[in-house]
Amino acid sequence: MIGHVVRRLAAILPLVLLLAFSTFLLLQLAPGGPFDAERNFPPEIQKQLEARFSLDAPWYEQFGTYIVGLADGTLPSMKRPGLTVGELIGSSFPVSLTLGTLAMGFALCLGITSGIIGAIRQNSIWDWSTMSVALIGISVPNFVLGPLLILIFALGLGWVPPARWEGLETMILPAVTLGLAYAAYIARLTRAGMLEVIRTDFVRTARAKGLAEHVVVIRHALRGALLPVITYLGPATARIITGTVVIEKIFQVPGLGYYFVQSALDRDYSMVLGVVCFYASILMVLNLLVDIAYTWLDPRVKLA
Amino acid sequence: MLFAALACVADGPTFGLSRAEEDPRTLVFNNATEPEFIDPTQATGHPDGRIVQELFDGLTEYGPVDLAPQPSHALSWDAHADGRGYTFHLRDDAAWTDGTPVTANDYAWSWEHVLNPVYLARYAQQLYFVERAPLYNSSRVFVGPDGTHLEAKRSYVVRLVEDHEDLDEGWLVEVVDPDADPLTVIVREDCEDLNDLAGLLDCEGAERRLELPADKAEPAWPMANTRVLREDATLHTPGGDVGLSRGEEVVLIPGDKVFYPTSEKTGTLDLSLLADPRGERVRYDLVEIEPIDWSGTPDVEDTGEEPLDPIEVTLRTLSAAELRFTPEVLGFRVDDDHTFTVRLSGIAPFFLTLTSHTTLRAAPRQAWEEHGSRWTRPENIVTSGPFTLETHIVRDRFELVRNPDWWGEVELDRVIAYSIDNLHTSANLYRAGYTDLVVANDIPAEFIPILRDKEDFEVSPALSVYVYRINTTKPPFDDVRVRRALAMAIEKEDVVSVLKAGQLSADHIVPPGLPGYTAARGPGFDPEEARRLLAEAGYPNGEGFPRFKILYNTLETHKLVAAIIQDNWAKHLGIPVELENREWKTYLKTVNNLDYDIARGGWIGDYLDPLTFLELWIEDGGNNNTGWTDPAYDALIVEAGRTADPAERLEKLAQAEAMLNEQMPFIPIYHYVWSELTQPDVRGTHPNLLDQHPIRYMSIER
Repeated sequence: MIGHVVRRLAAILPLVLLLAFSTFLLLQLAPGGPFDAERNFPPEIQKQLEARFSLDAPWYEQFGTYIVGLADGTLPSMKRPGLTVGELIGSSFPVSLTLGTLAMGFALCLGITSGIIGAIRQNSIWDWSTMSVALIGISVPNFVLGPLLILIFALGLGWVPPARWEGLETMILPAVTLGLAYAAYIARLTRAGMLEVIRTDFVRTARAKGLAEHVVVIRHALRGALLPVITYLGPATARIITGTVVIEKIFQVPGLGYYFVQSALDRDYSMVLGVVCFYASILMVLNLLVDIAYTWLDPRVKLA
Repeated sequence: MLFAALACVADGPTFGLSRAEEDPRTLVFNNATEPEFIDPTQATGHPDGRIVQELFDGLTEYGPVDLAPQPSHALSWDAHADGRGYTFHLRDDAAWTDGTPVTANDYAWSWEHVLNPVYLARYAQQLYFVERAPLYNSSRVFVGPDGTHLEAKRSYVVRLVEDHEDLDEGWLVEVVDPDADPLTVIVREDCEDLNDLAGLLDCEGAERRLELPADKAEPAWPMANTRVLREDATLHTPGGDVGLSRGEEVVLIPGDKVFYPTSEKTGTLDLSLLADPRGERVRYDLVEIEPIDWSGTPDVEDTGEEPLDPIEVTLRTLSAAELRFTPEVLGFRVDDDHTFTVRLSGIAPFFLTLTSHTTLRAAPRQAWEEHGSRWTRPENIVTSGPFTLETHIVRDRFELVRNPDWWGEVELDRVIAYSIDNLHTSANLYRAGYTDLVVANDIPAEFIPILRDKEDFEVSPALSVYVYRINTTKPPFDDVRVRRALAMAIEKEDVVSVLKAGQLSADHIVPPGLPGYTAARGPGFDPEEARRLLAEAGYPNGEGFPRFKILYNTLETHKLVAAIIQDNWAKHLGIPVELENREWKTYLKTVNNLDYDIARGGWIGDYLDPLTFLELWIEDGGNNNTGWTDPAYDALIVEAGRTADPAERLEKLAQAEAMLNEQMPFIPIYHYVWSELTQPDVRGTHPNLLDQHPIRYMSIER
C-alpha cells in the first residue's frame, strides 16, 4: 500500500513534465504570440519584449527557462508581467476551490436526500418529481441555467446580487448553478443504490428486528447505497474544481478557470504552462486519493 | 414567476434600479476588464487609463466637457513662437504620496523611461511628436565624443531574419559593409549563443567569413549604453543587494546608476567591473544632426519649401564605446524644478491635449527603482493624483480612496472599479442597482433596442472607425480600380441600420466632430460606376474574378457586417466571396503577415486631431498592414507638420485624406458611437469623442 502510494507520487513529476512539454509544443504551433497587438509595438520594444521572455531563444532553452521559472516561482505572466504565475494561481485557486466545495456540498445534500426519497417512495409522485428534476438538472447546460437563475432570483426577485464574489450571498447562485447537474447525478446514483440495498437480506433482517424505518434507512441501507456515490465523488470533485470556467464567466468569479481558457487565447505561454501543470498535479493527486479511499471503503480492493 | 421577471426587465424610465440607499461619496462602476497596467509609462487600453488618470496627475488634465486641457501639475504654459514647443510652469504644491515633491525632473525621468527601449513601454508612440523621440526609441541617436548629436544611419551588426547555413534566425552577427549585397558576415569559431549581444561579444574564436543575401538580415541597433560584466559583481539596490555573474548585461542609466533587465533592478555597482562591451565589434555609421533649438523663435528664412533633409551628410564610423546614449539628445529638458520645456518635431497643435494622456503622466522614479515593475502593487505604490490605491484583487476590483494631501478638491471619497469582462454580467449588475455607471460600449448589442428610450442611456459620436483593410500587395487588389469598385458596391447605410446602435456610415476615415476640420469625402454607394470600374480592370460582371475571403476576428457583429457585404458584392458586382473568422491572436498574426485578401479593422483615435488616423498610413505607421505606401502621401503628412497656420495645416491633412479616398487601401464602413449608461444622480460626466470621463470631476447627488 505505502509502496504503491510512493510509486504513484513519484510518477507525478515526469507525467507533469511530459504534459508541460506537449502543451509547449502546441503553443509553438498556435499562430501569434503574447506580444502581438492590434497596434504594433515599436519594433525595438517588440524585440526587447521577446528577448526578456526568451521568445527569441531556441525552443529547448525557452522550455527550460519556463520550467525553472515555474519551479522556483519567479516566472512572470506574459500578459501581466508585474505578477508571477504562482501569484496568479495562488490568488485564484482558493476561489475555485471554495466554489467547488460549496457546489459539491450542495450537490451532496440535495442529491442524497432526493435519492433516498425517490427510493423509499418508489413510483410515487415524490419519486417521479425528484427524478424529473434530476433529469432536467443533467440535461440543462450551466450556461443556460446560470442566466435563468440570475433572471429569476437576482433581477426578478432581487434576493441575491446577480454576480461577483464577495460574501456568502454572492456565492449561492454560482454554487447552485455549478452543483445542480452533480446533484442530479448523485440523486440517481443514490436512488439506484438504495433500491438495490433495500432488497438485500441484511436490510430485511434489520427490519425484522423491529428497528424504526429511519434507523434502517440511515444506519443500515444508506451506507451500502452510497458506495457508487463515493466512486463517482472522486472524478466529480476533480471535475467540479477544474470545471468552473463557464460559471466564473457568468458570475464574474475571480477563479482559476478563467486563466485555463483566457491565457491560451492571450498566448500567455507562462500562464498556460503554469495552469496546465497545476491542474494536472491536482488531478493526479485526487485520483490517488480516490483509489486509497476505495481500499478503505471496500476491503476487497487492494492496492498492489 | 419567470414571466414576471422577464416583464420587469423592460419597465421604468431608467434601465438601472435606483441606488438611492447607497453612500453618495462612493462611486461604483465596471471598468470593462482587468487593466493590464496601472503604471502610466506602460498603460495602453481604456480600462488601464481610467485607473491611471485618477492615481496620477499629468501636466494637464482632460477638461470634463470638451477635453480642453486644464491646468494640473502645470499651472500654466507658454507656446513657443514657432509653434513647435511648449514651456510648462509646474505648481510647487504637488507631492507624491510618500511626501517627495513632484518636479520637472519627474517628467524628464518618466518620458525617458517611456522612450528608452529597455523599459519596454508599449505605447511609446504617444511621445513620438517630441523631437528625436522615434530615433531614441530605436536606439539610433547618440552623443559623440565631442558632444555633438549623432544619428546612426547604418549599423555594422545585423540580425538574421531567416536561417542561413549554420547561423540561426534571430542571431546577431557583424558585417563588413552594411550596404553590400551579398553581405559579408564575420563569424567566429565556437560561437554558440549569438541571440543576444553578450553572446556576440563573448565569442573569441578564430574568424571565418561567409556571404549571405542582404534580404536575410535586418539592421540591428544594439543599445550603446549596454555593458557586460567582466567579473562577478554586487548590485546595490534600494531593495537589497543582488549578485550578478560574469558575462551578464547591464544598462547604464542617468545618474551613474545601472539597470539590470533580467530582474528589473536599478542600483549602483563598481563601474570598473564593466567591460567596454563592444570594442570594435559594434560600430555605427553616423551623421551629425543639428542641435535642438531650445529658443523656439520662428526661423524667418523658413518658407515651408525647404528640402526634407537640410543637413549636409558626412558619414563617420565610430565604435559604440565612443558614444553615449543619453536623454540629453531628446527634445525635452528640465530648466529648473518647476520649469519643463518640450520641443516638437513638427507643428502639433494637439500636443497640449496629449499631455493629459496616460503615457505622458509622471510616474514615481523612487518607487520604480525600489520595486521594479512590482511598484504598482497597493503595498508599494506611490501616487500623485486625487485618489490612491487601497485594494487590488486581480480580476475582481480596484478600490481607490481619496488622497487627503492632494492639491485640489474632489467630491468622492472612494471609487470602486470592478474588472468584469462579460457584457451581460456587467449589465446585470447595473440593472440590479449595484453599479453607478456602465462605461462606453460595455453593453450587449441586443440590449440597445430596449435601452433606446431610457433616461440613463446615452449615445454619442466616437473618434473611431470600422474599416475593411485591403491587401494591396495581392492581385487583383493591387489595382486601385478594383479597390474602388469594391468600396462603391457596399450599401453602408444598410450595414448601420442592421447594427441599430446609431453608428454613422462612413465614406472616409476621419470621424466627424473634430473642430475646424472638413473631411475629404470618398465615393458613396454607386453600383453602376463600380461595375464599370470592375469591367475596366478586366472583370466585366465579375467574370474571372479570383475567389477571395473576408477575414474577421470572431465576434457576432463582425460576422453580421461581413455577411451584408458578401451579399452586396455578389448582388452588385457578381463576385462571390467567402467569410473566414479567426480567434483574435491568429487574426492579428494573419493581418500582420499580409496573409489575407480583405480584413476588418478598427481604430480609436488617441487625440483630437485628424492626424491620429492619418499617421497610420505613412510608411512604417504602427497599424498600416495593407502593404500600401505612397511617398507623396508621406510628404503631405510631413508638410502638414511644418505648416504653422492651423487652417492651412488641416487643409493639408484633408488633402492627405483625399489621397486615401482615391487610393483606397481600406474601405471605411462606419464610425462607431459610444453607448453609455449612467445613473441620473451621477453628476460631472459628459459624453465626448475620446470617451474620457475623469472621475475627479464626478459627484453623486442623492
